[in-house]
Amino acid sequence: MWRSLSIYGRTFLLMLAALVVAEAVGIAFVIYRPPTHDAPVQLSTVVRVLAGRGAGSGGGARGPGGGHPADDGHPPDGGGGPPPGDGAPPGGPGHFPGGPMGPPGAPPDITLATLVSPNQPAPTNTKLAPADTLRTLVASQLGADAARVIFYATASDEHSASTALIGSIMLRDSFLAGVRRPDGTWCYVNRVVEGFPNALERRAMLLFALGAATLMPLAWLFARALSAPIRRFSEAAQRLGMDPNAPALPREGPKEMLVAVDSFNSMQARLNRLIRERTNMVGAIAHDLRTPLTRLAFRIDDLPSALREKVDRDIQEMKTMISAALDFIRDRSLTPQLERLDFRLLVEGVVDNHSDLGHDVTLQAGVPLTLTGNPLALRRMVTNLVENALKYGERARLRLRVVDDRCVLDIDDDGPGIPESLQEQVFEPFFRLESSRNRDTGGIGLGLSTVRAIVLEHGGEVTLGNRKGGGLRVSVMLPVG
Amino acid sequence: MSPPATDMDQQPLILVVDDDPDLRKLITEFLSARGYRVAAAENAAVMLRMIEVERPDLVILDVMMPGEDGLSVARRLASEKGPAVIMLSALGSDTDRIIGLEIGADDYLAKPCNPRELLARVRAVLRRQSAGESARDREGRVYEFAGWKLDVLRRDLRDPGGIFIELSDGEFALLRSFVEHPQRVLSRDRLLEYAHGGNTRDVFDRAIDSQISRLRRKLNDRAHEELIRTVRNEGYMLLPKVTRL
Repeated sequence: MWRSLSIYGRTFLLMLAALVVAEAVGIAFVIYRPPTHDAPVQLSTVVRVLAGRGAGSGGGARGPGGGHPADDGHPPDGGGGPPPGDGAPPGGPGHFPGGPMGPPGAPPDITLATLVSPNQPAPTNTKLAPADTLRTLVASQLGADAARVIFYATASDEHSASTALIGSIMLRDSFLAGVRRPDGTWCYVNRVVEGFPNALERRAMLLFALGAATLMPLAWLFARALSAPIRRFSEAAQRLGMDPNAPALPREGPKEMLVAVDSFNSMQARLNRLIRERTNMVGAIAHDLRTPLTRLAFRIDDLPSALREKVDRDIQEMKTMISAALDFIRDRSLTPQLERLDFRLLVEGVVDNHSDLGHDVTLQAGVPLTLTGNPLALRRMVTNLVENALKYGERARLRLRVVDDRCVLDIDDDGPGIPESLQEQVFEPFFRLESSRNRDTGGIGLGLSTVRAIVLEHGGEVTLGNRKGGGLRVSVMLPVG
Repeated sequence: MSPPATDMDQQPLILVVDDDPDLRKLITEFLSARGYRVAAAENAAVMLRMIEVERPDLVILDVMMPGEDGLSVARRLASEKGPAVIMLSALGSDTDRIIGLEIGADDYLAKPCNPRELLARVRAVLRRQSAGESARDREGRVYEFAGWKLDVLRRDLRDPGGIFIELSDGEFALLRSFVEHPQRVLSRDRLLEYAHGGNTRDVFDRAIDSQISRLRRKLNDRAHEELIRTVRNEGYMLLPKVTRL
């Protein structure tokens, strides 16, 4: 069912899935969110706390007076000095730097302990520094001796305190404020504003990352499934026209794709039928020429022998052309008989045939080369190339070697070569170079077309190039194995 | 050139089967002028009737005819031990030739053929026939020696591992001479004659030594034993026993 779903359907399902995950993240976020605590704190709230009058309802800073347990553990934490009953707290006694002497026990809050540790007179875990303006303000609000009050804050908060009216002073950042009570215990307010990322943001990011990690493979699978039929489609389009026996595209993929596949298949069928019809027509013409030619051959039997031989040569030439045309057509229509064969021996055989007839053909053969192919077709391919080399270049130099799992057959001649602009065209059926037409070298321009058809059928490729020292080099690459 | 025309009844009777009337007439006239008795038929049905009545020695058969085509007719004639058959075909490729010979035709000629070529083939087939050797004896023309197989129609040589071994035309002709005359010393001249007959002797005369050495190398190297031996001052010999399959 999924396989036949339309692109629309698939997209819709993907979006639905994305939505569900995003919602899940949001829901998880709400359920597990830590309380918000980074709102600015009014200085008056701090003063109220330090005065022991309790936290204001709106303020984020809630700190009990000394000795009072905090109502909850969330920052900003208020804490007292040593609880009644005393006892040396772990971490040793804390001395507020710059504060009055006294043995305040370290508050139970670890952050405070860190902040006010005697070993770290200037707090290092934040950028807190003594804030004298704030201290003076707090002291005056409390009506206490400034010497009994400490205030550490960030420079920006201190600065805003120096310029603003007292009622509107908002502490936006971390601070530590304390007052030493007459009994020697400390009452303090400590507020820690975490930098980015704070606990809330960390949690949210984690959930988003989880969501993304869940969605990513889904999206990948989806994209792959969506693109696979399109990829197959383009591959088939590449093949189109090269291999008339190419199978029809399988009807797979989303609905829109099926429509395209159907159109493509019918187009391929039409094209193949066209090629076949053309092929059949050429074949029929070639074939039908044979009977009148045979008649002609018999009719001239009574002619004087000089004339008869001339006509006979013409007949033979036409016969060669017809055979070339029929061979070319057959190459493309016959199902190939594949054999495992030694390509080196095959090339040797062709070379030997020609050198036996007195032609200048040599082979520089490498190692034995086993490949799978149609021996008749491959032999014709090599023969065509050798004959071309002999026809246009007087001699043929063949070299056989293996490059990267492919066997490469180079055929060099000493002829004029082929202009680069025509090197693709010469592979086209019935295309002949002007020079070859004028030189009456015979043939109808199917030799290289046949070569290329055979090489392509064997999964290889054939290229032309002019050699530096003159002459043409034809390179045939075939897969080994 | 022509056989003695003393007694026409003793001359071989050739039946020309072609759907093209002009060509039928031309071939008939050409062969009659060379002293043969010739009859003609325009399709397979007429041909079969005439074979019944006239009992020709040889049929020159067009492959592509309306009605029953030449190939199936030739197959029928071969299975019925009828007259010898030369196929005259508008299809001229190697494959067509092999198919024609495999179904039992004695020879195969592609159109357009040179009349003299046709005459030579006719003579050769009739000679073989009178020597008691016909296509039917050649059925399964596969020779085996030392595990190697040579199919002479398909020109297909396989080593004992079944690998196709490429032979050049000259090498094939030589090997064919060897398997047809196994375990006998064949002189260079004899090999030339067997392998190439008369026509192109000059060309092959020069090439035969290299052809023999190539053939020996191909066989001996793959077999890891000597299959073709050089007999000093006498010639060459195929050593293993040859069986016809």
